[in-house]
Amino acid sequence: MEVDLFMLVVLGTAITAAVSSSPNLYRTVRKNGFHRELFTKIFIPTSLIDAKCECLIEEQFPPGLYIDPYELKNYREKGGPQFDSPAVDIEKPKELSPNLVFIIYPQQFTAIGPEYVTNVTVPVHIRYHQPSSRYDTVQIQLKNPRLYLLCQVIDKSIQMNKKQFPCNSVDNNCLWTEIKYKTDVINIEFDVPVGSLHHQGSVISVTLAVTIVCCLYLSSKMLHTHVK
Amino acid sequence: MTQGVSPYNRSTYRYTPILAWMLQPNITISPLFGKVLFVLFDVLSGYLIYVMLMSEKTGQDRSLQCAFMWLLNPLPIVVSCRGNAESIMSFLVLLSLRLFQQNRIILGAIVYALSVHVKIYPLTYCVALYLYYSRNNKEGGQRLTLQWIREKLRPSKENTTLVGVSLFTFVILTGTCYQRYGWNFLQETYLYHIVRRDIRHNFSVYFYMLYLTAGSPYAGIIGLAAFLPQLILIVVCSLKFHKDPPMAFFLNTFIFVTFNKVCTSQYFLWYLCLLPLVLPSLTMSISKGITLIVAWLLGQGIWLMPAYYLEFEGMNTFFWIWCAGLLFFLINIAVIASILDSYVYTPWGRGIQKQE
Repeated sequence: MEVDLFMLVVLGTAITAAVSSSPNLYRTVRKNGFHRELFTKIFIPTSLIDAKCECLIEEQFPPGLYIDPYELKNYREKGGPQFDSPAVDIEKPKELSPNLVFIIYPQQFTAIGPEYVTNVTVPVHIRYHQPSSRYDTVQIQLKNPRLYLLCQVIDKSIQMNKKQFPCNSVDNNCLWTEIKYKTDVINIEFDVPVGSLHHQGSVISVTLAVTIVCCLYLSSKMLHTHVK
Repeated sequence: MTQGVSPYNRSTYRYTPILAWMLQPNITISPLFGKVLFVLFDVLSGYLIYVMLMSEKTGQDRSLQCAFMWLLNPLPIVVSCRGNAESIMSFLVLLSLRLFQQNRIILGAIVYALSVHVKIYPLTYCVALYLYYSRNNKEGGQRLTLQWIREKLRPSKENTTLVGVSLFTFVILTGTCYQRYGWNFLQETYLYHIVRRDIRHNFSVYFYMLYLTAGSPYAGIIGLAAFLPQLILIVVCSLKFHKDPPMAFFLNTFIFVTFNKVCTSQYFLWYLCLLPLVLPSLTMSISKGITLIVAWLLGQGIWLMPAYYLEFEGMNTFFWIWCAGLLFFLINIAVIASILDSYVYTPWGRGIQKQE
């Protein structure tokens, strides 16, 4: 009996410790098509970090995905997040685009129960992908981001390397600390429709036939119009 | 630009620096300045239409009606209020036509060169303009024989002025901008538009074909095959209609846009501003005109449906977009054909002939 009670207590402590011992990340994608919204929510137990913490998300986007810096700039003026972005060519297809790194600064943490919580929504866009002869949709994978904090990390076990990034609203660099986190999501997938190479033969022949015939038709019509 | 830096530092700026220079009050006075400026050019374009039609003895009622076809047309209104500079182009093209109508060749050539500097498409008018000023050359021989062509190409006094002043103005404008902004300026303002391979969905009949062949080794030949009909039709149109420049310009642009590899609704403004000038020469009934307009608008609507499902719902509607593109293309051809059928030529301009 005593052993059972003891086991229960040990188990109970272990479970409580597991629930509140690690930062957590939740991600989801909203909307469909080529214009989506990336929603990220971060939970950090209050025991692990200081109260006045700021955080930063470092996203590594594959070539098929991008953020429009001008759109984000307008969004920022309407209450959207601060961000740091390289120049983006929004017209290039995926095959001619590089991997891009974006930095997003979510709003201040709010204490909800035993955790600090913050979230951020970022509009993202998908590039055109080259047509395929096998599938009519292809998938893009977005890896999980790196999370950085600018404050005192009480629990050193979650601490990883440090890196320089611009401090939130100033151009100076600060030293941010990367932290580990747990998440249910391995990476996010986006479905992209692509053209079908099976159509290529008929599309080329029909398009050129129509345009050439219409060109000849209009030419002959113009040549026969009476203009003194 | 207000900070003394190149406007090309913004990756999406693809126009002449003159435009950026003109819009500086957007920073210094108010962000609405640009839109007000575009609306102003819009209204001035309507005024030019009225003045030109009155000059051709169209009568006040008709001239006002035609001017209102532009002034009350929702498309240019929306485009200008959205902040697109297309109304500057329509103003420049109409102004150059007005100056040529009054036979003020030097000023006309300067404005024409300016319009080409701002956007390249008026370059397609150069053959028609040249032939207009050699229209009084003696027609040696049968039409379309080599001798006829040679006679038409022989430069008259007006032609030399036209070509000389245009080239000079264009070189000055482009040279100054190049000196200040370097290769970036040439690249973004001109080369980008010429080489542009935007394979994203648009109204063009060639969209799906170019998207599917973008990676193929035949892409070059296919691009050429798409360019040749455009070129042939522009030459034929210029040869046939050069005696009536507004008609030549209008048809030229309508054909150019319809057969272009990329087509967005902004491009429609390029020929819609010239339509009011051409209307008095068309003997079409109003009901036929309205049917054509409705068909043209329906064609766009039919295209917009699968395009919406592709872009905002992620459905694979590429095949349907292609079909809708073909349909819209054929509707445009039908409209052009109807216009050609109902066209009656009247001489235009205060040219050398009338002075005698």
